[in-house]
Amino acid sequence: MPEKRCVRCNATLEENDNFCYNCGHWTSHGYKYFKNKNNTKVLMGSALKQSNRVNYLIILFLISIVTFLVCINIRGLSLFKPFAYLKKEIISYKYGYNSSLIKSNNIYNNKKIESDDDAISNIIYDSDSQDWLCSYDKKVIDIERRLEKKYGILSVSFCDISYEEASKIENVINNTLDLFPNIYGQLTNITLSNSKEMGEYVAYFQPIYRFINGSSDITKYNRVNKTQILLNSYYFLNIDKTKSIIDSKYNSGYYVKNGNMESLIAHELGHYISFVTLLKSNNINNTRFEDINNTLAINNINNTINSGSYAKELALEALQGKNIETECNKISEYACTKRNDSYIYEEMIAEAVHDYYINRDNSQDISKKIVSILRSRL
Amino acid sequence: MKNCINCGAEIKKMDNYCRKCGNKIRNNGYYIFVNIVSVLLLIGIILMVVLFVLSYII
Repeated sequence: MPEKRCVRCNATLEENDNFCYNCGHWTSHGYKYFKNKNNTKVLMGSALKQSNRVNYLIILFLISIVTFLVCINIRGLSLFKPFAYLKKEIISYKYGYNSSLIKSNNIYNNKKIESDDDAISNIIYDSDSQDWLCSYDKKVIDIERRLEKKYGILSVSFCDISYEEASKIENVINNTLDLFPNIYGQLTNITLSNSKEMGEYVAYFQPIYRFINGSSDITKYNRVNKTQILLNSYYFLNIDKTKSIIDSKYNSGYYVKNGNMESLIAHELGHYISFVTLLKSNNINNTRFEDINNTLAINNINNTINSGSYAKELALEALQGKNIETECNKISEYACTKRNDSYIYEEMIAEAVHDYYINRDNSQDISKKIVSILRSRL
Repeated sequence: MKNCINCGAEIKKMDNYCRKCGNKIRNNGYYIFVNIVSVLLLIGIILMVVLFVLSYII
């Protein structure tokens, strides 16, 4: 009997082969075998389904790409909010207190900044690009937008602060800044922040924070500076846990009497208002955009702040020859803070504003005097 | 001696195709890879949709 061979590849076949073992081509035996419809079910085994699965794989891959592109196009980075939420929950569980994921200390170098508009858009972008790290609460967002609009603040970011707490903060800001005229537009940020050390500060004012190109050559790169108030997440996200710390400070007379945690923001606003009067006395509108033309003036402002000379001059004007130790102690212990045996007059001024915010007509005379001087300089 | 996963017929060592049903002989790793990747892609699509919905809620 002649050898059976495949008509395509000429491989030697066995008598009962339906397909060539080498190239898979039909054989004459296979043709006759599968003419019987009962035998065709042999072809529909699991391997066929497995082979089809390759097609499904390709389709699935394309669907997943399209789904991802559609989702990211609609939501942007906010798509990853659930991951941020999960990370915050893990941190809370691990350390026992709530923390924020946003960074208030971003610094960039060697970046092209052409104008004040560039500076503004970069400051806003730095905050907006971190929105996805924060929980969504429309009422808190509304408060942020109101404050931005009313006081010309470029970005207010309360992030995960509760609505109740954000309302209290809004109240403090309104009731403090409304006491002073012409303070629109110098503050760039009010933002939640994680301090490096837990409990380092409740709130903190940074008059000139070197945000962009701080360490680059001013002749090559213009700079962007933030003027910002930071709210420590350790306190503002853990009200119940930190209440006793704050209460003890007030009860001991360290801070102005009758205050609370939120009123400490009035203290920081006192620093801000003092800073604005310093700018006005130097005919500077704001320090956010720094180029070769105004870098000297801004550096002078920085040096003046660091030396404390402006604050000292203001405080002495308010004291009118009275004993500083006696007068600052009337406000609070914190108003008499010293560094290297010298008074930090900025703290006295800020605590005076804090005192006036809380106690108004019942505030100390020295506080009223300082507030009056600040108003006159605005 | 291996068996065809489609029809169960015996496969000889050098066979590229099953002699009975014509199924192309692939190693197990191929089928494992295709199945696992399919499941992963499906999970990925579901996860994407869930993420999308959750991003509006959280």
